[in-house]
Amino acid sequence: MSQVKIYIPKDAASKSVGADQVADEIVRIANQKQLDVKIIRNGSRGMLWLEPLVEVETTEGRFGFGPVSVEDVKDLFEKDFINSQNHQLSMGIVSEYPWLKNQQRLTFKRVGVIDPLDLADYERHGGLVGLRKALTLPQEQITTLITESGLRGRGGAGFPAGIKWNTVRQTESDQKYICANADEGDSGTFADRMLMEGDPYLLIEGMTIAAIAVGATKGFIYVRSEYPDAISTLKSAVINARDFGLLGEKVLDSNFEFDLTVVVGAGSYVCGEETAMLESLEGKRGMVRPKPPLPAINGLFGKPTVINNVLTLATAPIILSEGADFYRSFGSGKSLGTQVFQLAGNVKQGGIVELAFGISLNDLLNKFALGTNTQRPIKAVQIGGPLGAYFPNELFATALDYESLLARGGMLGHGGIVIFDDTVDMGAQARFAMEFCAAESCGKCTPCRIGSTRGVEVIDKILNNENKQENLNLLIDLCDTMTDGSLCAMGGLTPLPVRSALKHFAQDFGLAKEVANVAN
Amino acid sequence: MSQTINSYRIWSLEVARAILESQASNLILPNLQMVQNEFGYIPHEAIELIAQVCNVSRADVHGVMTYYTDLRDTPAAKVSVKLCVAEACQANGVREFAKECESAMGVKINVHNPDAVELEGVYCLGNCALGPTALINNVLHGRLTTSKLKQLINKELDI
Repeated sequence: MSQVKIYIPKDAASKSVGADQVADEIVRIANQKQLDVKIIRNGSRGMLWLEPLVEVETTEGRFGFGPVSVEDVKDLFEKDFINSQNHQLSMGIVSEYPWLKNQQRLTFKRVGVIDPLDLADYERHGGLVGLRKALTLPQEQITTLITESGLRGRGGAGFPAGIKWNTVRQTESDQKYICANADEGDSGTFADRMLMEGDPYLLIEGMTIAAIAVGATKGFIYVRSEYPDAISTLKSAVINARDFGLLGEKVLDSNFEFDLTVVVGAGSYVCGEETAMLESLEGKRGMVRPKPPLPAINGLFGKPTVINNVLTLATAPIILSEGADFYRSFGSGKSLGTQVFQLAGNVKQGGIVELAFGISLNDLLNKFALGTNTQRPIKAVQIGGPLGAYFPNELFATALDYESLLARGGMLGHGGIVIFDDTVDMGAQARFAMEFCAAESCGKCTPCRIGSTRGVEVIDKILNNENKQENLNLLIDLCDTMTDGSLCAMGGLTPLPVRSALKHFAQDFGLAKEVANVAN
Repeated sequence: MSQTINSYRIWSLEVARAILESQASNLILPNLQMVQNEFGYIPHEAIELIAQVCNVSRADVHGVMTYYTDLRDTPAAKVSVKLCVAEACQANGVREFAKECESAMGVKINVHNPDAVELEGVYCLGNCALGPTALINNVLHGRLTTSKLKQLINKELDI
């Protein structure tokens, strides 16, 4: 019998529910039975309720089984899972599985498919095509392509990537930098992590394209310390990329030089804000800098710097290889291309859903999430991380794009969708928003540093029925001050979850809807 | 790979100096991280050393050290449990779960406990569809229950 390839994810989420132990058990029993198997530790397909997901490669495709526990492995072998799909954990051919098939995976197309650290596998699946194209183009044409594709910053701010790149390109300097923001701190988001663990060369390729476009020779990937698996995968990937000649003095034998370093954060949410990240990369406290000057002109160590989120940089290669028109054929209006949504929280089928902008929240919940883990009705959904708004059922028809969310008092952020069932107390959630801000504020702006603590106190008073109307007015005033008087999104957007909770869930504060609405 | 207290070196100013000099960074944060990775914490003496290496004041080093929640001036606990307490895990009942953990483990959340188990609340580990989730000695675990957590802690303690 010829060798059989078995895929078991090495993704942190998959390992967190036993993928390593499952892999060990499969190897142990296969050896016992003298079967010739090759285990490949891929990234996760992003169907987290099916993890650990085991795939067997056949001539017809890769057949999946999940979620597999260590105890299931013996039974899988007894039912001959290598040759037969007659098992209750069988899900058929993974790429044909509707949840996956109904997505439009562009940025995530290789994640879960390839062996993350195998550069040959990366190339076999279309890797490095974009970079090779970029090496043949004048710099200006690359930034124009990115601008024309409509690609906007995927970290949350949504700034057009091409314009940022072009600013750095046009700024004269002896040294320029590319920084990948991998400080993915928003609760409910994990796309950067899964991409770095499942397809790290894509990020390296994207950063190299950016470097060529703007004339930078050095790059940094700033990863949060909470992601130990992503850190070790990236470090190995950088070493391999140097050996391969993808990074170094002559990128793929061209005259361009580019190398990069993986930098590990130290537990600070606000370091995900671009200027705080620059301070942290310089080894200082992660204090937010005023803008201007823009980092594109005066960034890391005072030099012109491209700072983009992981997903933004990882989307550049497909724009180069397939063209700007291809990418902008997804989405509409000013929200072009695809968004990597992350279904999280109390969700039956959580994970990565990459789709063109514009799908309604309802569709995402009904066609992908399929309700809550607790089988209870959904009461609220927080979109866009801890600084995003809470949406009630009445707003579930909202299209998920930058403009539609903004029009309804929300924001897309980094694409995290956190689902709460009807047991959630929205008063407690509003209080937590302020508590989180107090814990993570860098302290530069007074409304954020002190206002957040006062916010916790005022919300407590409202929830304890102390001078309700007066304290509500005070809270609204405080929210206005924080919004208007903070340099960055930490203080500026903390009021968003608070206000939305008040507006849509007034009953949880013991308020009449009209009272809370007046306050908005 | 587990990072238990046993894998850290006993503090030595000379060893620390040799490590920092071999790495040759004049940035404050990487120097602090090097000391912590090696010794599990950043003793007072290290502040002065890093100030010399970076040619800055001790206040600058202290300022950076106290800014970042990862950095600590007390020895690492034998078992460190970093439990995610952010929104996605709140949706999965982590508020109640944290209380259960406290009573099951006999510790208080965010209270330093160098000799045994330390339970810390952190904001998001990127495992947001498989909560409750925690890093136990830097290894991620999902779909946690109190009994599973106890079992994992005992394994780290070799019980």
